[in-house]
Amino acid sequence: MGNKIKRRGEGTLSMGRDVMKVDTIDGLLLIKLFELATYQLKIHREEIDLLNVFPVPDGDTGTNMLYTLQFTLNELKKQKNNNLRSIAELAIRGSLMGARGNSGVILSQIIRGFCEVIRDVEYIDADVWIKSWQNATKVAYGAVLNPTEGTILTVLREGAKEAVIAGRESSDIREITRRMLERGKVALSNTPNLLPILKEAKVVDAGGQGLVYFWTGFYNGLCGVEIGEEEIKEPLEIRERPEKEVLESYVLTYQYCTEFIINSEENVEFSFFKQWLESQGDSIITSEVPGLLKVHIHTNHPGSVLEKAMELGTLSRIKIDNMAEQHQERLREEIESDTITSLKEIGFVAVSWGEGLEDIFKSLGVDVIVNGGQTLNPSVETLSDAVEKLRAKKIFILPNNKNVFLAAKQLENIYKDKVVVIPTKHVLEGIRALYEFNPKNDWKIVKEKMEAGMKKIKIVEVTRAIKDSTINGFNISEGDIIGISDDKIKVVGKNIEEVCLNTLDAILEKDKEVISVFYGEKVSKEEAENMVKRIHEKYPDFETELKYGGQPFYFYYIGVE
Amino acid sequence: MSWLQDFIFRHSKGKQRYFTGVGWVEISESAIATLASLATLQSYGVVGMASRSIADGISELLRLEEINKGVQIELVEEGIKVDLYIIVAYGVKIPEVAHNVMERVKWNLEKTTGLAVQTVNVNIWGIRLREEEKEPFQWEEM
Repeated sequence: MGNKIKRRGEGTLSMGRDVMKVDTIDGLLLIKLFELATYQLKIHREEIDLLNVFPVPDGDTGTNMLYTLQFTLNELKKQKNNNLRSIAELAIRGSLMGARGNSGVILSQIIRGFCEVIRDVEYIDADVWIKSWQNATKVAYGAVLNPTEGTILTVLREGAKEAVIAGRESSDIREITRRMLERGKVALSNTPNLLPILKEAKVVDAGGQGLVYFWTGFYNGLCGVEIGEEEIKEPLEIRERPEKEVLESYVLTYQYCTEFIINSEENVEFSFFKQWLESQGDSIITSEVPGLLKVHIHTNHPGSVLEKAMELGTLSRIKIDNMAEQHQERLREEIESDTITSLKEIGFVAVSWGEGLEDIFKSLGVDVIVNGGQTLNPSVETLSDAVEKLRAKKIFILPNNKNVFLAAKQLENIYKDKVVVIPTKHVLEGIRALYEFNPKNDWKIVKEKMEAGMKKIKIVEVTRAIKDSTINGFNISEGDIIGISDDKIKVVGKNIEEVCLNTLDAILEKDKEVISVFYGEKVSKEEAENMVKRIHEKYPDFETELKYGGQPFYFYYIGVE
Repeated sequence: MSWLQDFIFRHSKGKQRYFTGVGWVEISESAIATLASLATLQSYGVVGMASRSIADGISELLRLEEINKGVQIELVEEGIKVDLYIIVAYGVKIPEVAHNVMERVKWNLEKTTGLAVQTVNVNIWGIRLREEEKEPFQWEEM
């Protein structure tokens, strides 16, 4: 594991310089140390960024540490006299003000602790140097309640401890710093063993790596390394923190994404317009060829941008999107692709299986049909999608199945005040309930009427047994035709029509008038018509109607009322 | 996961329960509060949490067992709303510490619970001055 972990920065000390012992550090040298440390972070910034997986993997540790240090250095450059007190004060203030990000704040505490000791001395010798790092550790640890091990703090502590030990053997600051740095590197390579998330990502701690480079800079300075002037002066490219992306993603500063092309004369100068654009919004992208300017901008005033652009030429391919709506786009598209509907008082979601039944539900005003039934229960998710899709003040769900009913009930809890579940246990109950719907009524009355309506119907289902069994005293073998009503097997037989008639016989009551037959996908129209004829012959007093249900598994659904 | 978040929060104010095909998962407010406070306490610059009920003017540092008192969780339509009441160390840049806490809490909560975090408000309820005499390590032991 260990050798797979990225570890950089080795070898920087093996340059074999001819170095002298460093007994004391004065103000000028201290500034130079900070300069070299900043330089180290600058050249390794991206590398540190890539290591950043903790505490939040946003890949900005190197950038934040560099920003903090650069700010500190800029403050240090302002000082007039080189006494340590003023340098230390400036470093404390600069690092505090410049602190950015988690590691930046820690670094600022380290610098503060380090400088608090230096502030009170005339010159820095080995003793002061060691005390400074001890104090830096103390201050850095003091600002956190639960220090996480395996971070910059661990590296700092180990380094400072080593400095204490080294101080007993040597009074050479350079040597002490070398040992501190070496120990820091060892501690750094051990960070994955202390912090599992680092091990998973196969990296060392980003902040710890930053501190190692910081010390590398210090050590280089003590070794007398010089860096080219131009390398330092090279402007630092740190953009301001993209606040809104990180934390205010819910607040759009500029609402309209506006795109267009200006067609103009070849010699027209677009630079003033581009400059003006900056004041109108953000995310500005322009591309230009002579006579043409393509513009992309996020703005709150697309109108005024277009007006201004028209002064330069004609506009084409204008596109304005309201970004606030973008997250609702999917929803909107779904509604548009369905039918463009206004907000209804009551919308219906019905669960059904079979194309004939679907058509019937649609003709009765159901807005969304969810496929499902006895063997294929739609999930809560599917149902909630349907509810989402529907634009209505109240949404009635017809589960049309005992099992789906439970799922629908959950929706009632989630979409309080919006979803009403009519406890239909069968598609025919659902269809019957819908007959009671009068859009002029208040939803409470509709609900009452539908619930009363669904109870008026008696249902017969005819299907084929799929396994041998004994139920209700019937010996059923696989392939038998069974007639079911009220969840109970009423008739068992071999002939579909016989079973139908016998089951009807068992449940028919005198006060009923209408027999509705819905034939399934396995039954042909002729067979069904024949069936209805026989029912009519047997019960001439009843009105009979035949409809195509297209339901699977069941030959017939018959409703009686 | 996104449908889950939409699903729960757009339509069930006060419910941190979401449904799957098998059953529901419910995360209590106090569980969320614990996660949030632990993430906060691990943040650099934060030295403790304060009781949110300090309208009466007493800002007390909470003991570890009662850190939940320093967190207020509210479930709004868009997600979890977190209010933190913290004590920071003296000498840190407070806006940065607050920012780090926000990021850390948001990231930790979203990662561990799968729920969306809408807001993290950080209330600095106090500053702890350093205890000078306390040394974190025994330097001379080595």
